[in-house]
Amino acid sequence: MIGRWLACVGLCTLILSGSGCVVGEDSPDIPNTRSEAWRFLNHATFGPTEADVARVKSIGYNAWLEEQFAMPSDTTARAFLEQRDAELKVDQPANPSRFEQIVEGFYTRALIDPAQLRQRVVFALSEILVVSLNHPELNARPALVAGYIDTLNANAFTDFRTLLEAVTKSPAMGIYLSFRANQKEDDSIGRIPDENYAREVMQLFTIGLHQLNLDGTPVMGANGQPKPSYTSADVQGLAKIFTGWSFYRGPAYASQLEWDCFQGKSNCIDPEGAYRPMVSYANYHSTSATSFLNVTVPARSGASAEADLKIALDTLANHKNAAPFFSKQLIQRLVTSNPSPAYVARVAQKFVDTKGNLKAVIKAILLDDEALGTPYHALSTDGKVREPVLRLTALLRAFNFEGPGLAGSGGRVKNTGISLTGDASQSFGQLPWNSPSVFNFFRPGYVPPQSKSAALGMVLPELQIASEISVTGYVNAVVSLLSNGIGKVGNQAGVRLVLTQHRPLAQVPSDLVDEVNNRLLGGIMSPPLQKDITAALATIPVPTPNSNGSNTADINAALDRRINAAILMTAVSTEFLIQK
Amino acid sequence: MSTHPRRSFLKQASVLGAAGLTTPWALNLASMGAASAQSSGTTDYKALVCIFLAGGNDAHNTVVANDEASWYYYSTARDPNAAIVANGGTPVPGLPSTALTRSQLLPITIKDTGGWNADRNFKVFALHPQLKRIRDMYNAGKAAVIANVGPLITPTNKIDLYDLTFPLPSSLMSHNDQQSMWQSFAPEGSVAGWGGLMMDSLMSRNTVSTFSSIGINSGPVWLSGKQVMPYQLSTSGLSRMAGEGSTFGSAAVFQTVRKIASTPHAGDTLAQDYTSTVQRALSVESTLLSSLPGAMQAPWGTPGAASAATDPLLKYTDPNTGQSALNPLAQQLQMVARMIAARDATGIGAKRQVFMVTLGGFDTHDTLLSTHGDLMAKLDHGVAYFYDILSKMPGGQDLRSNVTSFTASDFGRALNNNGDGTDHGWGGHHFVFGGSVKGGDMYGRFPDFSPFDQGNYFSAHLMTNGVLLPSQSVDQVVYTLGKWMDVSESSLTGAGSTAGIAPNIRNFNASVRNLGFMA
Repeated sequence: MIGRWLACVGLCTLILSGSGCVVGEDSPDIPNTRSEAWRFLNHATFGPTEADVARVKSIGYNAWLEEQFAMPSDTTARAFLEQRDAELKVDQPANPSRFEQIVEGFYTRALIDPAQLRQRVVFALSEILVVSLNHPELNARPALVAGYIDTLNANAFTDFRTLLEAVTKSPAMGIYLSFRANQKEDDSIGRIPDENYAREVMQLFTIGLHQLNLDGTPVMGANGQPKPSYTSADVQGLAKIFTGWSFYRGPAYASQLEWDCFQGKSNCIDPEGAYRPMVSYANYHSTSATSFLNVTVPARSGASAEADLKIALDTLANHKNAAPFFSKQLIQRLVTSNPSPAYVARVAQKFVDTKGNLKAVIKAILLDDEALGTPYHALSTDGKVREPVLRLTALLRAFNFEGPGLAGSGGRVKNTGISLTGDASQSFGQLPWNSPSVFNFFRPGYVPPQSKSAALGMVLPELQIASEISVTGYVNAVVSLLSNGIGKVGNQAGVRLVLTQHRPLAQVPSDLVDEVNNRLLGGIMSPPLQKDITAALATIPVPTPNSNGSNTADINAALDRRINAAILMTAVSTEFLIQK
Repeated sequence: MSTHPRRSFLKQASVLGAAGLTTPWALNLASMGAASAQSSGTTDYKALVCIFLAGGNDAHNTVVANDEASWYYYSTARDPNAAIVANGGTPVPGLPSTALTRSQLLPITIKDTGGWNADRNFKVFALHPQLKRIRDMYNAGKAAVIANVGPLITPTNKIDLYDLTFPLPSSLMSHNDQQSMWQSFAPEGSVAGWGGLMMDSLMSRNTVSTFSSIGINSGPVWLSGKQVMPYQLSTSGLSRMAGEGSTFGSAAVFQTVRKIASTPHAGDTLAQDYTSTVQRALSVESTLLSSLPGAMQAPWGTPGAASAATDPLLKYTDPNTGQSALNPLAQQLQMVARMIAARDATGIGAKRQVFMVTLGGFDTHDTLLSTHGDLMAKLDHGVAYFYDILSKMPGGQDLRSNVTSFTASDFGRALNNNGDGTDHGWGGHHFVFGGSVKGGDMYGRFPDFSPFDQGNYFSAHLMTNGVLLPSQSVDQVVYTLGKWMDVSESSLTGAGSTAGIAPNIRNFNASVRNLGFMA
């Protein structure tokens, strides 16, 4: 493969003024250029590193994806949380671990876990199948969210039906959408089943509000409006299925009253229950006749909660909306806000053909013609606004960074110490795993008012969390990142960029711009931007070395200012902020 | 319901096309003169403040019909033991309930000025026990209740719901879509709401358009017009982009950072939409930094307080713990008050403004009584705090009659208990607050409660599970508030095939378009 790629480069060089690289088309698996590998890695990771770029260029897209599919996470969320908890009990006995440790775990894995594709897909899934630490019960018991993260980690490369069942049985989801301890109806006391999960699993996780064509466009009714995919009666019917589920409890709790365990009273909280799937409690599960989405479940006797759940989840996963609904959202999370209907259809068809095999779907998304190739800003409607979390991870991963917790010395878990990134005016304006609601930080259908996008019928989800406050906050957060690092481990910054290796290049502004361009923009920086940055850098004077070397510190300080300024000016440009 | 024709009546000089960089709004010299002639004071200043209760407020537990019959149906739907007793059984200790405790309710009386409830046998109502200050404002004539309001295309009866061709708002009971519906009469994806559209028609009164429409910590669609764009402010403060004139020791870098941040890559649609926000931020950065008064000043703050978190004015008492804690609603309303105080500053010059603040957490599918009780306490404290500080604004100004606040939400919730919470609904009850409100009264028909049989109510207003079919439309609220803001009749109702700011109002009889709650 490498040989063919080299041959291709040679041929391309020879026919550069012609129509392109003929051999490259025969060998689309190897990126033709660094820019192409870099673009692919923007979709598939938390930001391209030099090593990733080299690896993809060496083994090609497919082999890289297979390598990543096979790679386990380097730690579980549970192990991270439990170890951080133990460390905090030593460091600060009065301050037990809290939700911040979930965020620390997130950023640590995003930044240093070699299983980048898995982590990136888990983050994407966390923005579709949302649970949030802003729920008081999850905030108080972050182990539940650690369990949910591990559930997504374990199922990111399974199939949609398996993922849906794991998410449905997750105790964190049971709490977040209030169907843990949801009881069957009781007419004698006027009680109906809680409809929360029944509604949101349809609207947000599987089929959506409107009937869809395979390409993700809505099926229109006779009145010119999209046809609804379900009714209130479907919600009420499905709600009966999601009754009688609550926490797992081990043998040690066998003697506790079933009611207490179902309710999750303090005498029957098995700590393992945060990490294990919920189990059924037959006495509280509805067995009366019900119907939803053209499926009728007759009245039945005996323990039917598992069988009923299977009927419901089979119905949802096999619904004709599931393939386009899920595929389009995953494309939006990884590649582009406005995929063409044909792109959605290609991925959705793969979903259908493979019964929702997630590896196949992810491959179809990342290796589609609309996802590969050189990123062109001039193709004006492609891509997506980089969300703040991904800006931070891409900035760090593009360069070398270090931190006191990254070595994992002293038996401690490797930790970036980055936790509080939510403030829009002071920080990055997005706190992972802390969405304000199950509707995520931003909606897949968000249209910015009075925008060019709106005029073109486009959506720009990530722009929903951009504001006059956050655009200023972001610039200042990057200044702070470059000046002080970010996060906290002990009394030190959790992570700092290590940029001294770039000092020689910083002697010549244009050389420094080339380096930053390669790392942050994949080498496609526009000439006007190069010119602006180069000119500004040249205004930072670098002293000429004294004969005795006494001004070395001054020289290095000036070079460091140039390096910081070059990264900042690139990071605030739309050429970085818009991922093509 | 998204088929109403595009509004085209606002083809005013759209100088905002240049991304609002300088926004010399009133090009008309005469109106410039008029604006500067009445440059300060309380004359001709009016503002609307939308208090959005995100998640779907449980209206059944916010305003309660407290006559014996209504209470019977309410309590047997929400309290299992009330149902057991009604069926001749013995109460079971410990069963979770979603009903308020009747003895703790705060009674209110109604004048029924509009005769909405004239044929009701009993007109005995009460507020949630945590709404003590709002009850006091109601009794003082400074707060009113708008009963059972929600999105409607046209007046709708229960029987109409069986007609599959009857026009109904789309995507009922879906959070995101109904938030959008309340704010903009269209589901998610709509780009102009009625707060912003009102400002489109009023902005010639303001020196610049930028501060016509302001969101605190968020910029929902309610604030966007076709010309007016929302400006977002944060409760955590303002800062200058890239430092105070020098970045990494270089003025050139400072200037270049700001230039790059606000310049889109040529030809890139996404980049243009991102940088339009940056341009707006930079265009008024200096104005805001020099004009916006600080948080720790009277009347909205306590001089000497170290931070919002320690300012006693912003603290409410959590009814579940008894602890005093920062009220995020009060903190947002503090920023509204600071911005109102700056309304006459050079570069702001606002005579009409709309603001939006948000209190989240209302999706009470479970732990309804404790969660909702805490939220009602926050609402009560926040509203009273804001009304009080408006009475003593800087310069001795009393702006209580200049500012009208009102609540809105995704939807009301169902009546029936789902264990310890309630599910999504449609109509709900809301409040309007201020010195210009004809308070101490209820506007709109309050729902009748009635026997429950096989999951259905006989009441004309209660659908399955006690979801409220609205008897007042959001359009009527918009029309009433718009009239007070001096929006023209034609802007509100539209004409011919052009829909107005209240796009469905012409489907309602002219005599009921104005609900009458504004003086």
